[in-house]
Amino acid sequence: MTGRKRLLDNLDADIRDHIARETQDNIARGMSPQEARFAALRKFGNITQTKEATRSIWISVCLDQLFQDLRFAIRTLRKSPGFTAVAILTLALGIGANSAIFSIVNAVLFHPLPYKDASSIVWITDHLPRNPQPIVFDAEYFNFTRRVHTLDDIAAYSPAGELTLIGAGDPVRVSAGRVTRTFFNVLGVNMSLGRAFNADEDRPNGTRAAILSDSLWRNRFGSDPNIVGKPIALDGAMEGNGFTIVGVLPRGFEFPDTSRTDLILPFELNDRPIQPGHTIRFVRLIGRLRPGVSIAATASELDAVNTALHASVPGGYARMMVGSRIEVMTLHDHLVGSSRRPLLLIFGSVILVLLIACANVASLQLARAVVRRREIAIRGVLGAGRWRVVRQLLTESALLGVIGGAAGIALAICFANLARRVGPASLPHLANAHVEWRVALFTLAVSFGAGILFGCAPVFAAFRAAPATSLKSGAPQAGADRFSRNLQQLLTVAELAIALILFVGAGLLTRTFVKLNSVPLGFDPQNTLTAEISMPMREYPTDRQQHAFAEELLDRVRAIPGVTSAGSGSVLPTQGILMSSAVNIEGQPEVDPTDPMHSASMNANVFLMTQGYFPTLRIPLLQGRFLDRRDAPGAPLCVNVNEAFAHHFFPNGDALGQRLSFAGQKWWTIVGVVGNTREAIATEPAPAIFTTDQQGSELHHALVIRTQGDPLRIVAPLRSVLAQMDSDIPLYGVQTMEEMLASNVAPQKFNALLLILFAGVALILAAIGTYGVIAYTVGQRTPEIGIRMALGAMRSDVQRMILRQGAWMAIAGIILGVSASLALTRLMRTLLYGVTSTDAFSFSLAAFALLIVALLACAIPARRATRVDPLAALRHE
Amino acid sequence: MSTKEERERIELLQGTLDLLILRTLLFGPAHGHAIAKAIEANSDDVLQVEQGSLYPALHRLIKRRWISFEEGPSENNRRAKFYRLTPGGRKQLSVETNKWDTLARAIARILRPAKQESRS
Repeated sequence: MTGRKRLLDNLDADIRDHIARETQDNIARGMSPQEARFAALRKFGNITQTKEATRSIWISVCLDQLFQDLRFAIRTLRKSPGFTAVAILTLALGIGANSAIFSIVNAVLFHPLPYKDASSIVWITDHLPRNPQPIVFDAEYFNFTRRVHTLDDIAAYSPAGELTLIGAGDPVRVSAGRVTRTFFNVLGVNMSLGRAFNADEDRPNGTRAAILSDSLWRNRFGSDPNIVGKPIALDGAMEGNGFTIVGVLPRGFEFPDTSRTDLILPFELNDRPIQPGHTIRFVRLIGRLRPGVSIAATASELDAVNTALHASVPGGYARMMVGSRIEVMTLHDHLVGSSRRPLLLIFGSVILVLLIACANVASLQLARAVVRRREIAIRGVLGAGRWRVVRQLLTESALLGVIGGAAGIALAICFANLARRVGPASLPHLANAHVEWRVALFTLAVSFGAGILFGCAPVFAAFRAAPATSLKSGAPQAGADRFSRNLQQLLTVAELAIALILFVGAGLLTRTFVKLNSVPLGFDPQNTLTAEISMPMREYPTDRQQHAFAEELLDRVRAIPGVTSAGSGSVLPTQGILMSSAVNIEGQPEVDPTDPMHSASMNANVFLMTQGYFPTLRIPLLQGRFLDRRDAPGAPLCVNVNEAFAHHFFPNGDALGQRLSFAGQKWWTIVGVVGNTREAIATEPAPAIFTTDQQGSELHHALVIRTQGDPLRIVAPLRSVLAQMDSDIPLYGVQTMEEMLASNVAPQKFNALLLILFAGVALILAAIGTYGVIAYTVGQRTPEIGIRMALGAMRSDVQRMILRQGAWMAIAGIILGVSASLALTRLMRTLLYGVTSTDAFSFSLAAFALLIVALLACAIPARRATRVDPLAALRHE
Repeated sequence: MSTKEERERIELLQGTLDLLILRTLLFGPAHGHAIAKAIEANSDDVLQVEQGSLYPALHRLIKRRWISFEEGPSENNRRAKFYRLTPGGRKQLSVETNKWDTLARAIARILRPAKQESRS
């Protein structure tokens, strides 16, 4: 067909020559050159039409052949429905999963940030060797603003805290982030209404201004176009509660680090040198790189400037900051950082499944190709060019691939919908994961390419056989057969190995989830409701009032029918901590605030609670007594401590009656030791102090209410009780304790389920592959089996022979898979809890399961082998 | 002339043009222009064909593998494309010629029955 291309390329030249010749003839007939040419052109007719007509002859050739190939391919596929169904299903699973994951990864990892030139925006933090979390101080931020040249602009922000919006309808909790006035410059974001903060607002005791998010503006303020300049009342802010709205954010704006921000307030940081006794505020930093500056250059400049600052601060602080190291990364990297690893894990699994799918279909195709060898040989003999036959086979494979791909896209859409609904909320932008047209295109390309790729397998097999010998019926050719059989077995072993890898991964993640779910909680979460309230400072300014409100509320709650007990605390178990402080024990050496090592070992978490907290949660009392109503503000200062505290600070077990102090000069007496609970599911219990009296704020309470029966039934009575007492206080975060615990481990559950799904699919595919190879082998060895049986072999011998073949493939797969897993699971270590990456139980279980599955897959062909009638088999020869 | 008649004329001409080309090439390979001239000459200028329609016909014949082509120097040493009859084309020519003869005789019998009677 290359001649055709040459033909068409030269068509123009041919026509020109023709007309030239006719012109010559006309001149010979006596015309003038001009007349001659004109006559020749007229005689030729419409040149453009001629060219088009000629070209269209060839197009119809291509199309004709293509249609012929397609029709034949469809007919062939219809003739073997089993193979076609299995192949399409295999491809659909592999390609469908691939596309869905590609969409999710695309949405989460590659999501472009809604800021101007987002690649120049960097996130800056400071690692201190003695502090587990990197932090930056406000003084460091101001120092940077003065001395750094590699950044065009730098801003500080703090992630959203919770406030109550009142005055326009029901009170509602809103989340508010705080930023310096350079913040929106760094991000390159303009307000859709109004402006960003100015210097008057972003200073200590500055004018109180607020910027609304687009969704808050729409939902709460009815998209009021004149909203700028109007007042808004916020409870819970330190500055008091009247603010003026100065701007509205554009739609689609995302505040870094938090999924939802309703409001933005000025940071009001105090620019002054560090002195002992001053409160330090922690900030997060972003900056815009000067054009042409690299991240490394910025990092070293910031580091140098920061270190110079540390040299000039008072002794205690300086010692704390020794060894600090600035880290700079793009904002994008910072935001997706923690999701990257699990997503890549999932992506890797999907590639593996796709490989299995392709290997499977290639293997199936190989088997079919050898069977069709006669047909292909006949076509060759009858004059079809080699290229024509190859093209027909490839069309078949490509068609299979495209149908599989289309089915895969349908599957991917379902899978993406499912992921959006049950996926963990911690995965940013998961809600945007759609199967978009780029993914669909990619999928179809992959399926088309895969079709061509595994279509090559049968082409090899077909052409290794010389036509003459293929035409002979009977004994299949040894050479080609052995080649394709070996190839098939190799493919199957690879599939089994991959399935094992996925199985091991699924096992590890499942065990992680199970371990997380079964950590000893230290309390009883059943039939318990939790909810949070937050009192406004202006109405409850003193400790006594706050305490009294909480106690009265709990008394009324206890009167609700169905409630057996109720209490409240500042933070619930597994939900983090409120405050942590160095502790001084009476009689023991005082903690030196300038010695970070010592003060770290003398640290304890401090929790605020009301009486009723421990009994409601059924946390056991180990020594002494619980705090109760006697311990109201004004009474002698008493605390409870947990077992971890008692063991750590009083190894001799004599904690009761000892006195301690923390965060101030008051001395508290330990009156009881209670059982341990945790601040987070995956961390061990840490020393903790429980008190009912907190200098400062009892404004926020997390209620715990134990009920008979379904806790959710008392939600409505609870709301009305609260509303009767004070209608301006919102009730939020309402869920059962068990729901709260479940959401703690939701990401691990999701990961485990996903990998189980992949492992299941891989196992099914590998089983199909194994079945295919063994069945094919039995078919080919039927004459041999017949001979064996005629010579006296028992049925059980034959069965064992076939099963042995399956077993060795499984064992080879297991060995290969285990070696690969040992190397690969190391990458998963950060996702595991309570299991090592070489967990023997998971590995053994996976190997065992694989062996069973492989033997089961061989069972049917093995049975069929025993039913071979020796006489018929020999006659067939 | 109505379009229908024009179309009929074109269809008839396609099949017959193919036949004429094959016949012309029976005497040996020739280039496009020479074929056109030969057809005109051998029909005593009765058949006036738009020379442009020759090329689609040639390509159609190539597609059907009834003729083949090759590049070569022409009589005045210019480059030209020569078309040649293939064995398949040769066979096709005899088949088509027979069909044409049979058709011509049948039509003649219908149009001039008297002549036939007088002959017999």
